[in-house]
Amino acid sequence: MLKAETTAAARSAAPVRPGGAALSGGAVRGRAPKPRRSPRRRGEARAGYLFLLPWFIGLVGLVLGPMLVSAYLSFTEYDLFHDPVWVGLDNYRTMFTDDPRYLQSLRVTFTYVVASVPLRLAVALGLALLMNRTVRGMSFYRAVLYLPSLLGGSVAIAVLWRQLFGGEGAVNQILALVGIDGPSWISSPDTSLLTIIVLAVWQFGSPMVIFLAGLRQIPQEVLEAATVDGAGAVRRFFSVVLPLLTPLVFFNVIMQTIVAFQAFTPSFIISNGTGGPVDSTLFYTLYLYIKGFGEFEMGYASAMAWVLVAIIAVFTAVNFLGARRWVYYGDES
Amino acid sequence: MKSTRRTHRHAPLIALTTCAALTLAACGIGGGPEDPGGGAADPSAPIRAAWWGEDNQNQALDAAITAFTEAGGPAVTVEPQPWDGYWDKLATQVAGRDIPDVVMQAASQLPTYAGRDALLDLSEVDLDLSGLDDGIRDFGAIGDQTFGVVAATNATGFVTNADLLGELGVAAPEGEWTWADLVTFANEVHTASGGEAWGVQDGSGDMILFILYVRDSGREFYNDDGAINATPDDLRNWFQLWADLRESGAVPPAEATAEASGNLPGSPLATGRAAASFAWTQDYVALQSVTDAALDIALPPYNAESPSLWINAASLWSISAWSENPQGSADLIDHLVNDPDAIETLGVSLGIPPTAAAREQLVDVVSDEERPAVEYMDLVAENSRPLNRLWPDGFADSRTLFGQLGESVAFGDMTIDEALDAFFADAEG
Repeated sequence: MLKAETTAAARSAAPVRPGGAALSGGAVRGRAPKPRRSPRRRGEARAGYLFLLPWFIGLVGLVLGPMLVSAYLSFTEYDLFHDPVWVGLDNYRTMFTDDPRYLQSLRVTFTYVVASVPLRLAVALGLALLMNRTVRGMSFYRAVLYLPSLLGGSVAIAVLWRQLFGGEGAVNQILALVGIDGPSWISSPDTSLLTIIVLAVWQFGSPMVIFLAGLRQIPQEVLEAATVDGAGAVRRFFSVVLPLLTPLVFFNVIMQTIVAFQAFTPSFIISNGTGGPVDSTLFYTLYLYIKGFGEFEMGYASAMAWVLVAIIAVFTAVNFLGARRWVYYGDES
Repeated sequence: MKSTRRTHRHAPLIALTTCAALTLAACGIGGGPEDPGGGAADPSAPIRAAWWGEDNQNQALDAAITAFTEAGGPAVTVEPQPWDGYWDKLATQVAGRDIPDVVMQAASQLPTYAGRDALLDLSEVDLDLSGLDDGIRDFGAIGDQTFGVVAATNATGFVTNADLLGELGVAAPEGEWTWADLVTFANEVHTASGGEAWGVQDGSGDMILFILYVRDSGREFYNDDGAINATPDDLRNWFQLWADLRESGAVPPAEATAEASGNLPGSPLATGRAAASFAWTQDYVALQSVTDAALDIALPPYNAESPSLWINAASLWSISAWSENPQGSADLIDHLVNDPDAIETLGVSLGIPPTAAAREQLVDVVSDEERPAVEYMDLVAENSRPLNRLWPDGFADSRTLFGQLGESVAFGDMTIDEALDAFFADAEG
């Protein structure tokens, strides 16, 4: 027993601290004695902190500091020109009681998240299954399929989208071939959000890569055993593959939901920064930007940012709670 | 181990102190400009200049500014930007009390910046503005202070596609004409083209046009105190006029208008699908450069008794309230507006020059595409009526709202009555 533990510890420690096995082995065994650090180790620790410093400065100066300031500003009226004036909870109250455009931006963003995340993950998983085969030139196909994700967030693609889905764009030209007279998808309030959701689904690359890695991890023996037991391809997918993938599905759902809540570029470009037509693509972050930099209501924009933080936190927490019911980590018996 | 633990214990404390210090520093950004530059500064100290513009404007300004420095002026760092993004950056720079010494301003934004103490009152520096046209000089004034020097002027015009109208045998309105004539004209084009062409682009969401519409009746859009003088009936009639035109097919449907917004080359007039549109003089030049058809620019609905048009400030030069070299900045502005070499370098890239001397100098130099715009400005000079007051603070927001309401009505998202309630509620609140 003891032997197994030490070897495990040595194995895990070895790559990290070559030569320090004895010391770390001791630590892993959980014996209480606190070994005295040599001057060399103290120097190492100092060097470690020194290496950490640039990151730490960035964290404080670029993340924590501005966050604290924005938390303060969210309780003020601040027009960028004058000193902030404390207004307590006014900004938060206005948002939910006296700002129809804010509520519209919530509606648009929720619709986008609820529609785009499951669709994108479904496409990503489907393509990962297709990619998980041995076919000649597979790495080429993988690269091609990943391409949209490298380009997707960029301004150029959003501009291209305007062209594709415009009144006389490529999509309508193709539809015209089969006799359908398509609307101007981008400029009609009924379909403009849909085109942005399609753009989001098209960027399935990063979840696809993660799913693909997960599929590679599924032991062949398990699948073979299932085949021997008479399970067909569909049954194997739902009873073996999907349950083993649930941790990755969970991870992707969390990450993609957070990303989706923060979507900005597509609506900004496609609507020319207005959220139009008729506010149909007024994403949360776009409205925040309009408020802060267009109408100089930086206090209000800060409050909006904090509400978004809260919304994302709640969604993530709900996901984690729900995950207990369906995520299978393989180490439970 | 001891040392490590000590570090551990202190790390959060250090973090907290640093955060607190940063927070304080960040909150201290207020302060206000109690001590604007002052006059004692060195007039040869380097200055920064910022403007918005396209490539041709950037090059022209760059060349004019280089000549200024070479002639003995202070060194100038230039910060050109496209219009999109210019105002975001400027607003952020104001928050940091760090706007460039010489900044290009828009008439619609000037009250915002001047009212918030970001700009220098130009009476504090030595600057000769006597060459500027009378009505034009006032554009930089707020109360009895002057915050901007008009860099170029423009005006709205009625732009028609002469080739298309010739083909259809429809005459463009001439002389005195009314908004009712516009409706007739647009429907004529639509009918004559067998429904293929639109008469005029949808202008319902353009508050500038609505202001012309109100002024056409001899009244002003704003009271002298800055409150809105137009009535709900004015706005109802305005939206109804365009709604009827959309209904009859003489004006593009809402989708087509939305699609072309912010995209001149894709606009129905540029693509030959509409016979006319209202446009600023500089947009007329831009439109003419993207279409092969011959475009004319003429007065919008006009009556000699109460001309609705005014000569507008396309852009202004202002000086930062925090400038450390206000006189050097003023010298640069003087160079750009009054120096004959600079006038020749700039041409009409920024718009039509604000001084008669400059226009006289340029009349032979401009290109064929630009000449109608220059000539049109002369026509406007004779057939316009200055605004009774400058745009009040909040004008820019009203204009944005007006556009949104116009669009909502066009898409049927709002009734006309709902839209005018929303507009006047905002104006009062």
